[in-house]
Amino acid sequence: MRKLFRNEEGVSLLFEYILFSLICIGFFMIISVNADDIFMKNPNEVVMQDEMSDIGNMMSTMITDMYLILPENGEIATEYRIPAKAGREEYIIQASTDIYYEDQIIELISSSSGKEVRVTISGIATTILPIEGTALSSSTNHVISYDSRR
Amino acid sequence: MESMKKDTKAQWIALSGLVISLIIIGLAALANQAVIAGYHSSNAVLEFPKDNIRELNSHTRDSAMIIKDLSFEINSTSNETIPFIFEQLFDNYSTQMQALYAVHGETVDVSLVSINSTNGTFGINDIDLIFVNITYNDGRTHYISEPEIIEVR
Repeated sequence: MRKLFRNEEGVSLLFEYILFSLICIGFFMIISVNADDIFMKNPNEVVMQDEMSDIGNMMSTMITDMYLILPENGEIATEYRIPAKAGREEYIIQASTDIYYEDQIIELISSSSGKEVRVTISGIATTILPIEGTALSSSTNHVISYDSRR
Repeated sequence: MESMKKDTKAQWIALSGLVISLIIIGLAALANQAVIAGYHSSNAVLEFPKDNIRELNSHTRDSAMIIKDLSFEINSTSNETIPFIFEQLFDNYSTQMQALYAVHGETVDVSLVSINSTNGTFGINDIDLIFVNITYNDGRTHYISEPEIIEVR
C-alpha cells in the first residue's frame, strides 16, 4: 500500500485527464450559453442584411427603369416577386414619406427585430414623381404602378 | 508504434497541410455567403422589359413617319384618300408587331386613334401629329400609353 502512494508514475496522465476535461467542460458551457447567438442570430443577421439590401436595390432598379420609360399619357404597372422572409423574419418595404429624406429612400424594416436597411433611388423622386407606399413581404402580390392621369 | 511517435521528420508537410485546410475552410465559408448576394437586384434588371417597351415606342414613332411618306407615294398613283391609305398601312404595321411580339410571349396592341392636320386638309406638309394607342403586356408588366402623340412633320 505504501508503495502505491509513493509511486508517482501515473500522475501526469491523471492531471492531463483532469485538465482536459475541465477545459472541455468550460468550452462546452460557453458554447451552450452562446449557441443561439453564434449559430442562429449572427448568420441570420448577415443573411438579412444581404437579402434586404438586395431587395432594396431591386426596388430601386425597378423604379429607376420604370422612370426611364414612363408614358406621357398612360399608365404602367409591374409585378415583382420577393421572398416572404429574409432570414427568419418578415419585413416591410416602405417608400419613405419622411420629409427629411425627401422621398429619396426606400426602407426595408423587419417588424420583429426592427432591423432596418435603407437604399437610395438616385434622386429621381425630387424631379417629377413622389414615390409612396408600403408593401408587406408576405402579402400575395406586389405591384409598382404609375398613372400619369392621377 | 514506438518508432512512429519518435520520428519527428516531415513537420513542414504536416503543418502546411493544416494551414491549407484552414484556408480552404475559410474560402468555403466566404463562397457560401456570396451565392445569395445580389440575386434579386440583378434579376430585376433582366426581367423588367424596359428595352422591349422602349423599342415598341420608338419603332412606332419611326414607322408612323415612314407610313406617312409611303401613303403620299401611294396616293399619287391611286384613288384612295391619304387618311384611308394611312389607316390601312398602319393596320398592317399593327398586325406585324402583334405577331412579332407574340413570338416572345408578349401581348401588344398598336392602334391608330386619329391623324391630326393643321388646317383640315391632308397635303404633304399638313399632317403634323398622329395619335396612337400603345399597350404592352408580358404578364408581369402592363404598359398603356393612350394616346402616344407622334410628331411626323
